[in-house]
Amino acid sequence: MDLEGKMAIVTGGAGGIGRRVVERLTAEGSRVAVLDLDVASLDEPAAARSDVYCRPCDISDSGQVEEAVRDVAERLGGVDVLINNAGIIRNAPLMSLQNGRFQPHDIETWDRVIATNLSGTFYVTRSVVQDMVARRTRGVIVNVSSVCAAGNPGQSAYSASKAAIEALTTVWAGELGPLRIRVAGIAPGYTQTQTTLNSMSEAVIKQWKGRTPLRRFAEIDEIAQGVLFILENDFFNGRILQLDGGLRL
Amino acid sequence: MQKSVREVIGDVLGLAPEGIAEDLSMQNAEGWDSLKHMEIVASLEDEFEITFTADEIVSITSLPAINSTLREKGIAA
Repeated sequence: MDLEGKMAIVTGGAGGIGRRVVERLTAEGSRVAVLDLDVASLDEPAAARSDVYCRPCDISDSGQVEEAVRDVAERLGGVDVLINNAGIIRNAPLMSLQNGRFQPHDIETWDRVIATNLSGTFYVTRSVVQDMVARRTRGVIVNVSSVCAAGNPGQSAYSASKAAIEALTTVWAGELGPLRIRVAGIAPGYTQTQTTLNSMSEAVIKQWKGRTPLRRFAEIDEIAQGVLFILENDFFNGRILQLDGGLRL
Repeated sequence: MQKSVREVIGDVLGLAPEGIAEDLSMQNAEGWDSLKHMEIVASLEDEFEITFTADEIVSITSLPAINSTLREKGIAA
């Protein structure tokens, strides 16, 4: 896909990988709508670029998503590209030892992660595909998964949500391919985002770098470059691009 | 050589073209579900080098409707 003049929605585009993807897309000549919960950060990219429209949206709320996608399509035109990037990380083992007692994984954490990462991806895609099919757009959807989709001890909800997103990538590629809508995914390894760095201690960061054959985390731009590759290569479909520096869980 | 509409539908649904009834539709054809419908749409688009609109996609759910829509597009079906 030639990104010049296209309209893209990037969820979670106010920071980290999403924000860099927004920058890369606008550099290629796309108009971008950012859907993000982080309203405070939304002002920054909006002020920096006139071709970026930022809109607060909690993607775990299907009503908000439908309203946001409708609003974005009215303002910027039909959607050609969707980057399902928004997600949250919560670390919690199935059983943890607290104050000398075993505590099970709390339900609230599980529900929140699944609602945002999995249901949110479903809600946004559902709304956007409705627009793409109605206009017969040969669109592209990129789902941001994670190396943790393989199953990372200590991250039940996060790992499950990302594995499910990879399954949805396969399902949607099969269903939408005949309509010439591509669906693919990218599974970054540990990346130098604030969210990732905040989610682990210095010792754990060092440990993960040590387990990664390249002995470092990915730069944010390396992941954004992977997203651009998927968008621009018209035969990449139904697969997950593993960008993990060789790390295997 | 260009396939006939019956051949296209037959390929997708696994039916012999000559055995396809005149009134074949999503309602009476076994296996013609939403997913197969998208395959039929894509196959017709490829075969006749056309693009159906979204409205056409939801209306061409029978052999007569497909033939009629193709005729409107200037294709002798």
